[in-house]
This record gives sequence, C-alpha cells and structure tokens, in this order.
Amino acid sequence: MENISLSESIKTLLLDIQEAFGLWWQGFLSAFSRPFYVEDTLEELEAIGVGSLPVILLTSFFTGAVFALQTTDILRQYGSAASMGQLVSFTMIRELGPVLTALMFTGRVGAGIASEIGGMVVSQQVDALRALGTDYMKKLIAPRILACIISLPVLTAICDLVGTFSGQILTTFQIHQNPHVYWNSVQSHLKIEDFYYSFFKAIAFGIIVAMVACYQGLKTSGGTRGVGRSTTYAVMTSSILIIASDFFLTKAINLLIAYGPHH
Amino acid sequence: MAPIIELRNVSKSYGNREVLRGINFRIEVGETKIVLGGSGQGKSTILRHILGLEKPDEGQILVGGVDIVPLEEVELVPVRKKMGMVFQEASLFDSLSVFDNIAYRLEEELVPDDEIIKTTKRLLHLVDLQDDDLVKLPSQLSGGMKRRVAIARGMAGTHNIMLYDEPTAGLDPITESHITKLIIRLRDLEKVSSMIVTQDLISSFQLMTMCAHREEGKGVEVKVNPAHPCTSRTNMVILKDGRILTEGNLAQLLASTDPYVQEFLSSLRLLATHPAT
Repeated sequence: MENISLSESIKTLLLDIQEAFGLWWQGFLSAFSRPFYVEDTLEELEAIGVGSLPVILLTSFFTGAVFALQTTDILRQYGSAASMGQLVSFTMIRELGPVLTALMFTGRVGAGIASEIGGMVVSQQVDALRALGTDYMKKLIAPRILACIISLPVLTAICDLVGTFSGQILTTFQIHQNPHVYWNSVQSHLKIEDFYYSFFKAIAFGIIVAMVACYQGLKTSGGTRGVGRSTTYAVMTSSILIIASDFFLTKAINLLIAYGPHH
Repeated sequence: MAPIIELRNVSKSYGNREVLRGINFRIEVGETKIVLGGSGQGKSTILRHILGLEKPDEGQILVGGVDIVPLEEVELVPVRKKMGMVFQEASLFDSLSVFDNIAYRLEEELVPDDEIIKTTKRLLHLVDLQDDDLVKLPSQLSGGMKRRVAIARGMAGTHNIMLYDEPTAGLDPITESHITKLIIRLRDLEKVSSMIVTQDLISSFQLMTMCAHREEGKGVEVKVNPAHPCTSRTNMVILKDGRILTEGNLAQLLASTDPYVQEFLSSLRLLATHPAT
C-alpha cells in the first residue's frame, strides 16, 4: 500500500514538473512575439532584481566572512593561509554564490510571484484579464520569467564579488594578512571556467524559481488559504529542486569543461 | 441575421457531476437574455464557456458565427475583445486605480492617451461615478461602486456584447436598482446585446418591463413601459439541473404550468400583479 502511494506521489511530482516546465516554455516563447510587454518586464526587473539586492548583499557579505572565519585556522595549521583568497573565491563562485543567491531569491521572489499570481487567480483577476482579451501568458508569466532569468545571474555575480571581498576583510582583520596576498591568490588561481559554474547555475536556478512559482500561483485554489499553500509549495519545491539540481549541474559543467572546445 | 451568440448542445461535467446538459440557445443582435436558476445550476458556467474561459465536453459555442470551442488561448483573444464581462465579485485589478481599471482595455489596444482619458471619463459618468473616484483603488470603493467600475471596464473598447454574472448580488436595494437601470440604459441607448446571469427576480422584472429614453432637457429616464419594443427584446431562460427548463418573455413564463417555474417565479407573479411594488 505504502509502495503504491509512494509511486503515485512520484508520478504526481513528475507530472507537476512536466506541466510546470510546459508552462515555463510556453511563457518564455510568448515573450518573443507581439504584443511585447516591455514596461511590465522592466517593472518586474526592478521589483525582482533591484528589490532583491539588499538581501543578497547582506547574506553574501556575512557568508563570505563566516566562511573565511571558519577556514583561517585550518589553513594556518597547514601553513596555507596565503591561499585564503583562492579558497574563498573558488567556493563562492563555484558553489556558495549561485546556490545561496538562488535560495534567498526563491524565498523572496518565488514566494512573491506565487502569492501574487495565486491571489489574482482566487479573486478572478486572471479570468478578468483573459475576459478583457489579454494573453495572460504574455502579461503575467513572460515578464516574470524574463526578470528571473536576467536578475539571478547578475545577483549571483554580485554575491560572488561581495562574498570574496568580505573574505578579504575578515582575513585582513583576523590574521592580519596583507590584502595584496589575498587578491594575488584570487587572481592567480581563478580561471574563466570557474565562472561557468556561477553563470550556468544561476540561469538554471532562475528558470526553476520562475517555473515553480508561476505554476504554483496559477494552479491556486481554495481562497486565501490556497494562496498560502501555493506560496509554501513554491518555496519548498524550488528550494529542493535548486539543491538537487546543483549536483547534476556541477557534474554536467565538469563534463562540459573536460570535453569542451578548449580540450 | 445570424445570432450574435449561439450554444448548440453544450454539455459539461466536473468529475461525476453534470453541470450543463445539452444546452441550446441563441442571443440575437440587440437582444437581452436573462438566465435564471438556483445556485449550482450552471448559470455562471455558461458565461465562462461563452468567453472561452472553459471548454465544454460536447457541443458548439458560436460567437459572431465562429465556433470558439476548438480555438487555442491565443486565438480566443480577438473573440474576447468583442465582449465585455462583469464578474460576480467585480474582479477589479486591485493594484490599479479606478482610472487604470476602466482604461485597461483601451491601453492594451494602444488608443491615444487623450482618447483614453475622454472615453474613461465618459464611461465613469455613464455608471454615475465622479471624477474624484478615478484615483481611488478598488479597496477604497463600496460594493456597488466596484460593480459600477466593473461595468464601465466591461464597456470600454469596441464591442457590443455584455455578459453579467450576478450583477446585483449582495447589493442593497437602491444600488441594485441603480445597476439594473444602468443595464437597461446600456441596452436601450447604447444598443448593447447582453446576457445576464442572476437569481434576482426584482431586477429581472425591471429588465423585462422598463425602458430607457433620452428626453430633451431631462436627460435619460428609465420608466416602466412593458409595451415598448425594447422590453420585447428581453427574454428569460430558466435553468434546472443543467438543462433549460423553459424560455420566453415575461408573459410566456408567467403562463407556464411547470411547477418548478411556477414556484421559482411566484414573487415575480406578485410583482406582475402589483407592478407598483
């Protein structure tokens, strides 16, 4: 009995992901045909991208600092304190930056999108849009998808930079290391390939956040309680998908770098 | 002339529950169709089908002679632009002002700004609201005002079909009467074809017995005039268990011997006998 319900749950989850991806793809394509909702997209970019900046700045600053704080002693034990810059920047750019930004982003933006669209669904505002002859995919979904895909790589780059910078501040104050040593270590070891991780992961996570939030918002039912439920599911599902897909994305980018055009 | 809206053998089920069973009816150009019925009889579902918000399991829905059932969401956009819809809960865009709500469709149609302002104000005055109301948000409006803004929003744009879902539900008798007279004005003066889904017998009675006239020096007057041709273009449909039980004008319905129709229209019978009430 338990096996049946588990397999049913997996089936439902896969169907949900398939439907959500279908919706995302349809919304993404609709952004490239007339009429273009440029103003709506810019508004969403401001609300989603610029609006997320303070929280990303704060979390990346403290994450970079705490990471440096935790690792200085270990590196000093091995006499490798000079590699601090390499370690912090490498970790921030390849892993912590994209994942942390995406998780903060889904908490703020994913929840916002799901509740806003969900609220519009239960108050029949989406039906009113459709009744007024507006393609809701273009008006509601496409601007949010574009805003997520554009904002997340930019926010991730900012997170990478601020995290690396806060690592340097901590190193300077904690072990009195000359900042030049730190930045030399960053510059001499970072490769362009490291940025592939940040960039491709950020795009993939942007797709996940927009896809899950829009899907959960549109399938909201059951009044205000339903809106709360959709918001919770949106944040929960995209967080899990971000962390799970991070593994596969890392593996895929490893392969891309290993067998890519440079090799 | 071809009907402006026609339903042919339309059926719809949700799970095991049959909501619409072989519905057939047509709305001619300039006609007003009142759909009456108890709760859960599928009245609002018919409206949602006409707008293409839902698809029937069987049957055809023709709007302006085109079957909209096989159309995709994108293809339905121009069809929906031919119609205005007033939802039961008004469903105004809560983050937009009254002005932006009414002007929404005009802005979508890229109408020049000065024309948008002119049309929006005309529609606002048509629904008896003031210029001061334009900057208000829906949350600052009363139930009756929301419904009026919804009617003005539905009227904006180039179309002449209006669909009303319980336009007077939950309103006080005076606001209810204002909304009904507004629908009569749109019918008689703007020549709008409409479909009104309602349970409100008093409002239905007014729609079937009153006419709007523009009189020199007096403005617009809405008076009881059952003999006027405008009332003969208003017909009623009664739904029961997802089927059309009966259809006709006021006299035909009052003469019906069907026990459900008789019971349903008992208060209407009283109104017809004592129209002053």
